[in-house]
Order: sequence, then C-alpha cells, then structure tokens
Amino acid sequence: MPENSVVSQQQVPAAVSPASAGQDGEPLLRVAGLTVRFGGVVAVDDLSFGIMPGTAVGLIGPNGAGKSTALKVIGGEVKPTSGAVLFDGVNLAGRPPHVAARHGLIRTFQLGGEFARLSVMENLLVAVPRLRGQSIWGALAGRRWWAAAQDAEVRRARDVLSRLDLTDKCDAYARDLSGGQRKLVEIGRALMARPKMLVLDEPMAGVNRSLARHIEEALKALRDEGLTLLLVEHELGSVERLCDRVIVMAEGRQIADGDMGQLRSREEVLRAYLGGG
Amino acid sequence: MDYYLLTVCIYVVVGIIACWGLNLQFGETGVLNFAAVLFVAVGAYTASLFSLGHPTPASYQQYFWGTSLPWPLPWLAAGVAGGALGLLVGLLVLRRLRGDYQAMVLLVVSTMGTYLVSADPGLLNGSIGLASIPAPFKSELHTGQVGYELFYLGLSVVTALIIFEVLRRINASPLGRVLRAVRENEQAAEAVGHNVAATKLMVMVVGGAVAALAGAIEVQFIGAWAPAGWTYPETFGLFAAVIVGGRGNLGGVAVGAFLVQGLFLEGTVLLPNFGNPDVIGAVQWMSLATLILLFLWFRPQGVIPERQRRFREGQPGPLRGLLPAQAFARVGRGQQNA
Amino acid sequence: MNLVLPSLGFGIITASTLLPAAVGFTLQFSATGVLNIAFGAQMTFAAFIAYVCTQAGLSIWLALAAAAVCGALASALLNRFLLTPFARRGTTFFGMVVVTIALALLVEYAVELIWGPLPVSYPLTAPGLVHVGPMSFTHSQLVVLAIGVVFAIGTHALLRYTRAGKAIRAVADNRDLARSSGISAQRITDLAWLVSGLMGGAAGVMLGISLSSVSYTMGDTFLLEIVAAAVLGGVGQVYGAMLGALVIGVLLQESAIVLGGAYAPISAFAVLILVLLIRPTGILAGAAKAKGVS
Ligand SMILES: Nc1ncnc2c1ncn2[C@@H]1O[C@H](COP(=O)(O)OP(=O)(O)OP(=O)(O)O)[C@@H](O)[C@H]1O
Ligand SMILES: [Mg+2]
Repeated sequence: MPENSVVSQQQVPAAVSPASAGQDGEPLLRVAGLTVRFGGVVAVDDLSFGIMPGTAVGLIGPNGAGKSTALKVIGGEVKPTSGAVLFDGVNLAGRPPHVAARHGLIRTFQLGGEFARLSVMENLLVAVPRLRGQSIWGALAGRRWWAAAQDAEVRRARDVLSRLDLTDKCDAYARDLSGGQRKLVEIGRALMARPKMLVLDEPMAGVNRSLARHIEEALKALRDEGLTLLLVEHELGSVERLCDRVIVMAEGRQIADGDMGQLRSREEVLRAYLGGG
Repeated sequence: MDYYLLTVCIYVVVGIIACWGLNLQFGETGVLNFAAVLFVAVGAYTASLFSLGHPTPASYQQYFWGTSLPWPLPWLAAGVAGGALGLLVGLLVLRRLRGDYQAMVLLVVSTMGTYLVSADPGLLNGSIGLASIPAPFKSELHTGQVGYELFYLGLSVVTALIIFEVLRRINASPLGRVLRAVRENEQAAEAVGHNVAATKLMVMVVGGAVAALAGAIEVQFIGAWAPAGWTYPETFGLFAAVIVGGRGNLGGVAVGAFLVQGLFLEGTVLLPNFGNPDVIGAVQWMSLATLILLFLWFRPQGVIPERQRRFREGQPGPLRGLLPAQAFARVGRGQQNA
Repeated sequence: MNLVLPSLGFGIITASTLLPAAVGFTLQFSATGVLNIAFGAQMTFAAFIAYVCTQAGLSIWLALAAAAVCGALASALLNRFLLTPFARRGTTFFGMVVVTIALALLVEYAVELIWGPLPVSYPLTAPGLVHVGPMSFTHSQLVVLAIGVVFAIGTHALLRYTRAGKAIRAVADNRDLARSSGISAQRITDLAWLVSGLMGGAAGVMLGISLSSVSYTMGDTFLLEIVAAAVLGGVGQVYGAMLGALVIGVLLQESAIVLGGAYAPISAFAVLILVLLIRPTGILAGAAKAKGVS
C-alpha cells in the first residue's frame, strides 16, 4: 500500500476483507425499507437502495424531501422508525454515530460541521482513528508516547491540505474561514478518518462558484481514486459530472433511480422538482 | 498577619485545584457541571470521615461511619470518592440526557446533596456540619501555628503541581484535542468516530477526583465542613474563576482562581470593616456578578486565553497534483493482499 | 391520625403556585433556548414589588396584578437590553447560562440591599377556614388555587386559539423547523419573555402568599422545584409542565408528612431522577422526538 495514501489505508486484515469489504456484486452500503417518522411527519418513507464500492451516487430531491434525514439515519444520528442500514456487512441502524464512523462510514454536515475554535490542522487531526494519546492512559504517558504517531498524521494532514489548497490556512481557526473553506476542511477531516465511504450533505451549497468548482474537483479526484461517495446536492450540474447514478426523492419516497441523462427525461422527476421547489 | 496571608494562600491553592477540575469539564470539554461544588464537598466529607475516627455515641457530633487513617490516605480516598461520584452522576446525567437537560439536572443533583446532608443529622452531622477534623502531622510536628501553615501550604502546593502535570498532559495530548472537539461540536465529534458520552464520562471522573482533592485539602486545613459552605452560588464562584482566567488554559484558570477566590471572596475580609456583614456579602456577590458580565462582554476568552496551537513538526510532503497515478489505493476492492 | 389527605390540600396549593412558574419557565426556555437561572430571582423581585404595593395601600390581589405586569416588563427589558445583546455577540449556550446566573445574583442581592435580609409578609385578612372534605384551606389559599387554575386555562387558550400562541408553541416544539417555516424569531422571543415574566411575577406573589413570608432567597430556593417540574414534564412541553407542577407540588407536601419536612425536597428530586432514568425526555415528551436521546 502506498505510504502517502490519503484515501484508504484500510485496516482490515487480509483474512477478513474478502467477506466484509464487498466482492463484486455486493454493495458496500445497503439501505432496506428505511422509514423515519417525526410525530405525524413521514420524513423518509420505505427507502431502499444499495451502493457498490467505488461508485459515486447522488441523492437529489426538492427541499424537505427527506435527504438529510436519510443521511442522518445512515450516519446514526437519527434512529429510524423501521428499516436496516447495512454497511460493510454490519447493521448500523440505531447504533450511535461513532460506531458508523469507526466502521469507515464518515459523513459531513449540511451546516456548521467544523470545530470552530480548533485550527484547521487540529480539525483534521481530531478525526484520526485510534491515534496514540487519544485515550486517557496514552495521554498520561506523555508526549514521548504519542509524538511520533502524531507527527506522521500531521504529515498526512499536510498532504490532504495541499490537495485541498488549504495549506496556508493550516494554523487558522476554522471559524475564521469562509463557508466554502469550512466545507473543504470538513472533507479533509473526513479523509483523515480513513473512510471506506463518504456521505456528503450539500458540500457545495452556499459556496461561491469558484470554490464550489474546487470542491467538485476534489470530490471527483477522490471518486477516481476509488472512494465510495453518497452525495446530496442541489446543483444538478455537479451531480451529473460527479455521480455514476442518481436517486431521486420526493416527500420521503424514492421516485427514481438511474443516471442523470435518463432522469432528465422522466416526467415525475421534473414534476417533483417543479412542484416542490 | 502572616498567619492570615498564609491562610489565604492555602485557600487560593485549593481554589486553583477546584477550578482546574472544573476547567477540564467545562473549559475543555464543554460539560456544564453545575454540581461542581458537590464534588468539592464530597471530597471534604470523605477526607473527614477517613481522618475523624470511629463515631462514638458520646461525641458531640454524629456521623454514620468513620476511621482514622494516616495522610495521604484521606486525600486519596477523597479523590476516589470524587471520581466515583463523577461516574455515578455522569452515568445518570450524561449518557441519556441532552446538553440543556444535563445542566438543569446537575443543578438539581447538587442542591439535593445539600438538602440530604442537612436533613439527616445522623449522616454527616446535619446542617451544623463536621468539626474537629484532624490536620495531618499536626501533632507530630512541633512548629507552632505559622510553621505548620507553611508546612501545609507546601503540602498543598506539591499536590497542586502533581495535578497540574496530569492535567497538562491531558491538555497537550491528542486526547485534549478530542475534548476540545467535543466542546466545539458534539455531533461532529461523534461523526468522526469519538464516543462523546464516554469522553464526557471520563472528564466527569477525572475532574471530579481533582475537585474532591481540593475539598480534602481545604477540610483538613480548616478542620470543619458544613452544608452552608457548598450551596450553588459557590459553583458560580468556580465558574467565574474559570471564565475570568481563561477557559481551557491551565495557567489562565489559576490566575482566575487567584483573582476570584483569593481577592474577591477571601480578600475582602482584609478590607476595613464598613457597615454590617450582610452588606459586605451582598456587595461581594454583586461585584463578582458584574465582573463576570464585564468579562463575558469584553473579554470572553479570559485574561489568558486558550493557546492557539501551531504545528511545526512534520514537514509538508512534496506538492502533488490532484491525481498522481497509483498514488492512492483503491478502496473496498480487496486490493490489500500485500 | 391520617394526614395524607389533608396535606393533599397543601400539595394542590403548592402545585397552583408551581404551575404558572413552571409553564413560564419551560415556554421561555424552549422558545428562546436560554436557560434562565434568574427566573427565581425575577419571582423574588416581583414578590417585593407586590409588597411595596401593599404597603402603599393596594389590596394584595391588585398588588399581584401589578407585580405580574412589572415582572413581564422587567423580563422583556432584560431580554432586549441584556440577553439579546449577549446572544448577538455570539455568546454560547453555556455563556448565556452564566449571564443569567450573574443576573440572578445581582437581582437577589439588590433585593437584599433594598429591603433587607429579614423576611416580610403581606397583610392577609379574611380569617377562617374553608373545609373541602378532609382538606381545609384559608381564603387566600383558595384564591391562589383559583389563580393557578386560571393560568392553566389561560395558557391553554393562548396556545390553542391565538396566532401568537400557536407560533410560540411551534417554536417551542422545534425551533429550527419553525424558523425555517417563516415564523419571526424576534417577535416570538420577545413574546416568550413577556409571558414568562408575567407568569413568574404572579407566581412569586402567589409563593409569598402561600408561604406567608417573602424573603430575598425565596425565588432562588423555589427555582429548583420549578426546574424539577419542567424537566419532569419534558422541557418545552407546556402541558407536561402543568402535570409536572402537580406531581412535584403534591409530592413535596405528601413526603413532608410521611418522611418529615426536611426530606420533602429530596424525595421530590429523587422521583425526578428516577423518571429521567426511565424516560430521559420527561413524561410528556413526544415519543418520536428523534433528537431527544443522544
Ligand atoms: N427533527 C425533526 N423533527 C420533525 N420534523 C423533521 C425533523 N427533521 C426533519 N423534519 C422534517 O422531515 C422532512 C425532511 O427533512 P430533511 O431535512 O430530511 O429534508 P431535505 O431533503 O434535506 O431538505 P433540504 O434540501 O432543504 O435540506 C421535512 O418535512 C422536515 O420538516
Ligand atoms: Mg437537507
């Protein structure tokens, strides 16, 4: 495995990986019969889909369609009323978010996902899984115990930052960055967590055009490196360029599934968009 | 006067330690521990029970149990008790409740403690409180009052230094960074794989043990402890010190504790007596409240703000293009058969 | 002699006082997101305003009304000139709590400086007891009870039938959601502070009447019971707060009889903790509130 890999460095032992890492024909993420009710509102209604490893899938739909809620369930923040979330062979439905993250499923937030009063570098380092010195005993053992491990991660983080064009912001507090730069920090942080899959909630919303382009490029690069992506985004152009396949939701239900070209001609998709916003 | 100054010094050291405990919870991790003073009290009562000896029916004070152990065992017992309380309260409050509930329930728990001790005279001598708590080595050392206070101050300072080193290591480590991440954004900390509930539980235990040690040091010095000394405004005094000094900065918190605990709360006794003591008390608390408001408005980061961390170690790698061929492993495709 | 039933009467009186306080507290908290520790001190302040009014010759009931209005105004001003500016400066939730604690100390000790540390009391006339089965009430207790009921009905009407009330309830239920559906946050915030100040002011005077004394630490002590009632009912749940007030009020008085006065608050809080262990979002909180447990 190349030493400077940003994306993967999966820690799965070879003996385990064939079964769990998803062979051909076996989706990395499978969502089955997912339903979420908030009181009377059915935010997600019987949603089912699978995502093959190494593919990029878009999830689109008008405001209030239930996209964010679906992502929250996948990430573990919201417990589904019913249904299963199978990631890499494990059912994550109802498990807390850190469990999903430790299995390699990392999600970003639609709004305010950064650690405001941590520097950009620290934002990235926080996400390193099982870093020496993150446990109380490791911390008490002192700098000598964890310094080398941290240095290695700092180098990796610098790589990530240079890929994202954030090198000069390394020591700035995340709260002093622009909205788009914060989104980039979040993506960088997700990469530091050694994800098997990234789940992104509107990474380009409210970001100026050139920075949005930059985020798109970064995501495209990650996709081409084989990282599995699930992307919620309103900017359909970006979705078309990034995603192999698109799922359309409206009022909690999945109304279409296919590639963007096919979807553009489907009437119910157009109606959902025109009707809903 | 020497005598009084030494006394204030010891109080300040005690205040610093208690504030450090709270800083780990509130300043670094963002846990609004409104029961902070309860931990100090538990430490004080534990140290008392472990030094007073068996209760006798003839004694003028009642307590449910007691033994007499040599120093430093009462202090250690206090630390253990504080940690245990942190675990208990943490399990009760932190695991299942939302942040805003947590604060309210902690406030309730703290007040419940005061009521409980006051209500039952057989438990810890009720609202009168415990007295005649022996001071360590006092009978062995023949030094006179000032000499003994110097000795005790030394003992507390050494303890404070040990605690400082423990907390400094936590603060500087990757763990400290996780704590600050939890403070800044719990959901995001969870989303990158940190068990926020377990992390908070940990700081409740460690911070609780530290605060309890402060109580132990204080009680073996003054020799008495009663419920009136640990009502919830005292918790506010601790918060005030952390905010004034600088949340998340151990040195800053020490300065804050010196200013608030030393000058404001203890130091006012040094002032010439004006009017009746009620007025002094009221003016004291009101000026402390004003001080806090001023700080939150003009300098919310405190006298000595949290350090902004820079990373010199780890040279940047050679600048790569976005897509160096084969530089990055593909994921999830069973290619790791190295 | 069996005192359980007679003390039920006291319990109901305590609950009547607790009710407007807990409802006001929970409404304001859930609508504005500020945990207001100064609520108790505001109650004390209003109770002393009523005292001044009675000294000036007003009847206690007029004084109660005046105190409630003063409480509402003070609360609204407080929000406008202290809390909102702090919030605009980006003070965090925790910072805001500390601001309200500071405020509580300021108000409480200002009251002590002005009116002295010794308790005062309202001139309550109308002697004689009214017997209802095994329970007996003084006339003023009955009026307190009536005011409690009026507040319960009034709150219900406000939230159910007025536009402003519906908006408050929507915001209290789910602040982000209500914001995004175009409810003016500033107006609702103002209104919530006004209403909670009114209820807190009235509750302060009612507390003074039922304790038959008014002291500068009164509201602060009572705050814990308010918080307990609000948390028990599920924060943000107005009807939950009413139920919580009833449970805590009755529990306080009953346990005072059964266990002795000193243990009363402990047993009430112990019940609160037990309930929270079983149902972390309070008795009446919506079961499907996904954000509640985490
Ligand atoms: N915590 C909640 N409580 C109650 N209802 C909620 C909650 N969260 C979301 N909803 C409702 O669920 C539905 C789906 O919301 P969601 O945020 O998932 O939509 P979305 O597709 O992400 O929209 P957008 O494009 O605006 O981000 C909406 O009707 C919303 O009002
Ligand atoms: Mg969304």
